[in-house]
Amino acid sequence: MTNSIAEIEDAGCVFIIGSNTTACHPLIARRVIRAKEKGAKLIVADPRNIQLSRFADVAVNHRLGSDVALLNGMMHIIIKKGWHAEDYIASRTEGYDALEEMVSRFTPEKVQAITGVDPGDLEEMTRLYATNPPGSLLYAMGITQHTTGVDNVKSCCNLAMLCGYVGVRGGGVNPLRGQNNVQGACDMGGLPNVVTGYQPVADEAVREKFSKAWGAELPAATGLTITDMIPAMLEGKLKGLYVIGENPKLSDPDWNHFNHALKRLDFLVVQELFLSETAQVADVVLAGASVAEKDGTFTNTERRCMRINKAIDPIGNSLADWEIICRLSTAMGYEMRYDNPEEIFDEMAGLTKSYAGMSYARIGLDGLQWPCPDKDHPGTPYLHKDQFTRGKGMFFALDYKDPAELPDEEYPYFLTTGRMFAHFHTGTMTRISPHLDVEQKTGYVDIHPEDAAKMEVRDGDMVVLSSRRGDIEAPVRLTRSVAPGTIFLPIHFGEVPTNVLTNAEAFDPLAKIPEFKVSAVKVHKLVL
Amino acid sequence: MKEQIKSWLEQGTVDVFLGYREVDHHPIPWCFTQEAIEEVDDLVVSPARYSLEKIATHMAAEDPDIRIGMLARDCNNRALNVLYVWNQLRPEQVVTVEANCCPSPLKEHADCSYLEPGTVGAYKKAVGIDNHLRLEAVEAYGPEEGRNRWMYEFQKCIKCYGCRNICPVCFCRECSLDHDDLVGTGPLLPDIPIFHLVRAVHMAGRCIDCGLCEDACPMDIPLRLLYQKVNRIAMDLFDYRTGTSGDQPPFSILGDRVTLEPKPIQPVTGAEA
Amino acid sequence: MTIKRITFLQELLGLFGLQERVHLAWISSAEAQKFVEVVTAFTEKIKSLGPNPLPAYRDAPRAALAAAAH
Ligand code: SF4
Ligand code: SF4
Repeated sequence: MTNSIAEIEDAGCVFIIGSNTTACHPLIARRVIRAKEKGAKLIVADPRNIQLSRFADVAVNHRLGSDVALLNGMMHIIIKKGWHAEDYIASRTEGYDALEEMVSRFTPEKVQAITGVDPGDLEEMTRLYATNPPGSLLYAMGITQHTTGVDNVKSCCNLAMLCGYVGVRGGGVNPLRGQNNVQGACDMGGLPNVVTGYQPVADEAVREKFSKAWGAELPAATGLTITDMIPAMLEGKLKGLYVIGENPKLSDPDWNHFNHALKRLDFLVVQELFLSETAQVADVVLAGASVAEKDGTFTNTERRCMRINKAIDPIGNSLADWEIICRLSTAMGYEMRYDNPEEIFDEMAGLTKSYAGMSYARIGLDGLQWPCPDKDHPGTPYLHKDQFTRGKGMFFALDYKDPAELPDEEYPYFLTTGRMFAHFHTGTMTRISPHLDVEQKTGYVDIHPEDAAKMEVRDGDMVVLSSRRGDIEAPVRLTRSVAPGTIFLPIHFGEVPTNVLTNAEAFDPLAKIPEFKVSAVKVHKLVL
Repeated sequence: MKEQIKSWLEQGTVDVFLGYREVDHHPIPWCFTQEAIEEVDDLVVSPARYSLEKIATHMAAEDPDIRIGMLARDCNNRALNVLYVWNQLRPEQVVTVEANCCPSPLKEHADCSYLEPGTVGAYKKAVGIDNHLRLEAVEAYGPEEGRNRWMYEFQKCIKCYGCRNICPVCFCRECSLDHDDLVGTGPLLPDIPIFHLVRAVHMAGRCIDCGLCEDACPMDIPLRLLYQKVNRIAMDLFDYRTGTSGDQPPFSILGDRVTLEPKPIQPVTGAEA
Repeated sequence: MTIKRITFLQELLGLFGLQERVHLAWISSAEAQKFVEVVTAFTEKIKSLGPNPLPAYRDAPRAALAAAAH
């Protein structure tokens, strides 16, 4: 997030796109509701009718994958009406002319043809966003998990910059991260091309700095993304896989394809709390300690690095992840010895500018938000205050592209996937909780009553869903939260493996993120 | 006070003392023990409130003979009374150190910084319910207005169960809110108003108006007013003052006799030193 | 006790303006005529009250919320 969670309350307008906030980020939804109750305007754009749509001044259901068109349409209106922040654009950004030229083509009529959004609604939501500063834009996986994920994100930034909302309190472009520590994992270099603080591996100076600190030469080649790993496994180029705290057997697109790839591996190691679907097929399982059993830090979606404190010692022979990695490294010939995670943190802070001013003592209970470059720096509640990281904010002129797969005669329904409030990801932790299990015991498919009538199915009937990749069965849940023509599957349930249907071939060319949010399927009633 | 608590722990008057300890400038609910008696020096009495008696109930469920010392405001004491009445704790096993308390229809003269009115947004005032209203004002809404306002508030619910989990007098082993024949499960929006009404009905004659549920509710739903309403009905119909009466409620939705076992809904966590 | 329970329920439903939808009457097994009368009268009353307004908050949320807004 460019801004902080608490600041959302002080926004003049909150625009939510591609985030089912009450279900997936409930405590951020709390801020949204508070903003609304204090008088902010609320706009929700989502292919589904989410809980927050109820409270919105304008709520639209744009067609799956049509985000760029919708956002370009909003910018078209802003420029036409003169609602854009001219001084801000002139002094702080570049690339405006190309953007103006591009969005001039996105007339409300054209946008309606692509997105299905009524021109009146489009104009009203645009007016609310552009004329109630500061506007806080929130998005989540509904923006990123597309073949055009990067374009979608850039379009969100274009819109916010056009109104001068980036670098101001209460505004910003705020991606809501999927896990408590996914921001921290990325900050720590959990990506194939960077080390900590997004320092590129390809940069020789960076490699030199780290080689010196670690007393070992670092390879210059970047690693593989998971999307690239799967073909490499199939081609036999990747022979061993070490999975830490992930359950790709359930979470990766095109289940059949991925399983086929897994079988080609010579060796699979999984480090997990529980025997997840992936751990069950591993050659070696390393027992990781749970959050209650380890010390360390998490960095959350608002860049706030916070301490976690061990409540109990690890049970059985499980170990904290850092200890397992140290032992493994030592066994493989590079001696890695630390007495505690604080030592590791201090080493990292010494090598990473955005964390340089942090220490366990300073983080305390409240945490610190990066960038925090020195020991007296109070942390940064919102980014890009006086200038952007790269100097000037860049507008990207982006044309709309269709998702990789659209419904056709054979596969007439849009399928989108996501989460429900009671479960987390593949359910490895939540499905074993009796209180959460009571909420939702198994998978289901959300279908609009009108579609159900056409399919001649009723609430609770079993249906077979098929895509070009495979078939699964699921019980029907009738709901008006999905629009007719679209069905929704939650991703948490191993017995209803949603990702049998999704497409591994369709991913964003840059970010390599798979298009989980759009596939085409057919549905028919299961006849026994 | 600290000296007294230390001597209780040293002499074994109590096995544990539940209070608050200052950690990084935050008062944190804390379980003081003889083994770490020096921690008592960091004990703080502040406006911070937590249902310490809920922790006590969980402990007693694990070890029925445990003797517990507790920092208690008036709301904690009312909750303790209810827990004694419902056989969740025994009065002999609890000793308290008194601290300042909060105003409530159940006790008029008191102060509690938590209950100082925060700001309630204009939109909420217009369509929802101002959490600081008096119950009479809420009862005075016409049928349609009342319905609209309550349903606006309930529609915000994200079913986090914070209200149940914090409540000092929610101790049932099996919770009706988890029962899918009583309250629909699955999607958000939850089953409204059933979810809230089922909980409200179970609070009649039990809720001691501490307001912790409302404090915990991330959506600022005026839960305290809702439970004041059920208690008001219990008071009007039966002249029963929850939390001060030593008798079981004359009227109980749970059944006429209390047969529940002292079992918490989840194992003890959080208070461990 | 029953009358108190029903009174309790009516009072609670009163918050939503639904108290009239609960009715209590004592009828012995010998009072067939009274049974018919009470049930008929109550059915009539419910019919005249119209459908339960609460499901609308689920199914037509925006309309219901708009109603709340003024
Ligand atoms: S006010 Fe809320 S938390 Fe306190 S006793 Fe009543 S229901 Fe429980
Ligand atoms: S605390 Fe509030 S949001 Fe959470 S379940 Fe209770 S009423 Fe709903």
